[in-house]
Amino acid sequence: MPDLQTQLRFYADTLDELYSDVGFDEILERIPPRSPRRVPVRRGVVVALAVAIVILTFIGGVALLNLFSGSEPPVVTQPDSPATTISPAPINPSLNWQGYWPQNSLEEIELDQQRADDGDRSFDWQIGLEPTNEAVGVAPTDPGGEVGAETAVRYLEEVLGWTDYRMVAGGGSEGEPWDLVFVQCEPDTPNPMYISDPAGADCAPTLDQLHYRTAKLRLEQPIRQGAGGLWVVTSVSQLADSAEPLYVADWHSRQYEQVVPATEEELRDFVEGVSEARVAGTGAEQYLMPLTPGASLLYTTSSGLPYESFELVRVDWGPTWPDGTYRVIVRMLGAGGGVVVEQAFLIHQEQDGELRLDYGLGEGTENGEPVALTYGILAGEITWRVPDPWFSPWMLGVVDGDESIVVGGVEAAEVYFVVLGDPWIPEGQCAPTARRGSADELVAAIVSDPDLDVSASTDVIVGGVQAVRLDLAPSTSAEMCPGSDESDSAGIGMPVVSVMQQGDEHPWSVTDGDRMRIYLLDVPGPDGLRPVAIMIRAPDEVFGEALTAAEPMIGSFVFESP
Amino acid sequence: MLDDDAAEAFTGFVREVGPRLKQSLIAALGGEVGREATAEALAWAWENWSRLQTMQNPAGYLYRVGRNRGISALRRRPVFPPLIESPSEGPWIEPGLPLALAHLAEMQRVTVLLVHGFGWTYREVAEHLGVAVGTVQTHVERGMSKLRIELKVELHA
Repeated sequence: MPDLQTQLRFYADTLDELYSDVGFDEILERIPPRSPRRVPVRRGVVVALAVAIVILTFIGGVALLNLFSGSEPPVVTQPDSPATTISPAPINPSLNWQGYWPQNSLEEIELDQQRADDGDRSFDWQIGLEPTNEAVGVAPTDPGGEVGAETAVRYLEEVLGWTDYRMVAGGGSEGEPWDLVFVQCEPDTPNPMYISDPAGADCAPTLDQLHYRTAKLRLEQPIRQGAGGLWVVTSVSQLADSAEPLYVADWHSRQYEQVVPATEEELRDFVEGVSEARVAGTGAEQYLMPLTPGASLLYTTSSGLPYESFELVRVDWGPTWPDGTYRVIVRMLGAGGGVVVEQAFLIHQEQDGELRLDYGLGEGTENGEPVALTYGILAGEITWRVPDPWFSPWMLGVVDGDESIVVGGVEAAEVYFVVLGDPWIPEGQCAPTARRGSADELVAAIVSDPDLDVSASTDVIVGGVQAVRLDLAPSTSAEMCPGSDESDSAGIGMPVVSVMQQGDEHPWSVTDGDRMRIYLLDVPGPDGLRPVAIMIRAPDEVFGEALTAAEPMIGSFVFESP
Repeated sequence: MLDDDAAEAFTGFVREVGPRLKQSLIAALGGEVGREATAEALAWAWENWSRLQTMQNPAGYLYRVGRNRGISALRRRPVFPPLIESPSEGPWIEPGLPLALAHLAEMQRVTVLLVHGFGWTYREVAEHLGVAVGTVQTHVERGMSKLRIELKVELHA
């Protein structure tokens, strides 16, 4: 059999042949007959412009511009033209403004929406595709993605006068306003601190050596949401500086900035400090990120062998813009030299320059073999070991930092492994409420739910504790429950159990096309028995594989006595 | 519309960039959607030709344009055509390879296909996707590892 690389080459060649290159004629066919940079005439805009020009001419001076905060941004128009080009000049650089742009009022937007609906293609640039989190989340440097993309870009370029910028954050829901955060880069100026990172190499700060002028644009579809609705800018705000570390920064709400990245020498000194502490068997925690969960292999191999030496294998990559993160590969040698532990770490930087090691959630090998790592919830009352491939950092995460929940999953295949401490029983159609209950009560509630098809319950032992195992799916007659609001078109499926998160009930559900295996058991806790739910949820077609993959985890549960 | 010089420059751009743009979008979105997204991205390029010319990495930008347009067409995962039977010429291909590729996380799939399938260098992929070379390497390693697990093939050097 040819090796995998050969198979990939051949398959790629096949794809290349199967899907021919796009021809020039085919491109032209997709272009509507319009002038793409034109905006229709609006009489109100003309008046606003005229007033703005008169005032600016009369008083003059940049200082007046801030007085426009809260008013409409002026727009240049040509009254005799059937369509009006927005001036490329930066007329109003104010970064704190509310109103409507490019239209000036709801009435104008409504009128133009009607024109667009009637086939006027000159509004196409104001119509984005449906906003999706994927559109922004995956390509955060893309100016606008598809969320009112052209509207945002034109506002930046033609109103604020920005010529070089990056989108650094964005988010919203279908039918709701979208906030897009942009940073202004110093035009035609390289960023020497991050010359090795293409994302930031050509985006130098605009305020000082570290800080960027940062604007949050709110985009809305005031008249009609969804496909075909006109996007308008309704507010702009300049975001303020913050003291929180960049590696936890929420770029939706703070000014963008970069750190001075550590030099490679500083990085090596830091790694040596951590590794020497690991060999010494004490003091390594001080180098780790705050709140690092149980760090397997920190001081010993999986068999308890202490380390006797270490090696920085390589600096894998870094520093990344703007937070100066590096990735390093470190090798620890067990006493006697028989065991080699190799791990990949991210190294972050605090704003004061102090480095922190992100111990991560896995990526460890012992003598070349992946090492199962231990996770726990409820302050260690429940622990279990997670084997490869489930422990990869992007497959396993703690939801909302809630101590009672850990979720793992194979992202692309939509397979989830969920452990819930203290699950509640959903009550009422689509689980508007929930109540506490024991494992037996949870089992009874699930089995009697007419919206779930449940297999016969099976008694099993998990971690030495008696448990009940159920396999279930939505019943054929079940009508899937909607999401928490209209924007959640996928809905929540059929609730199976609920868990309290930050004061709200959060149902864990199974939906059309999915199946779930759930283990319910009562484990001893400090205040008596407490229920635990362990769930594996997967699409029908891979459900069997998911159960097989989860078996080692189910078999590894340990429940600590109070 | 563009003048003749600009049109000529654009056709040259399409010849140069189009095939590789198509490869990367097929890797991200699957065959049909990827090709469609390529056409959409190039149409966008035609309409925004003057703006595109000022960009340092127009191909990378068009990749994001195409990807964003294409992703709304995907409901669950990209579709890669199965090879019912391998042609007489060329090597045998594991029948599960297309599905295994679809199962990969997107960045893993894109980097694996571009590097090992279409023969791009790590640096070319990094520039195209706007990420660090080390990031590409990591995704490729993880993607290949997952493919080997799913296809149950032995590790090759």
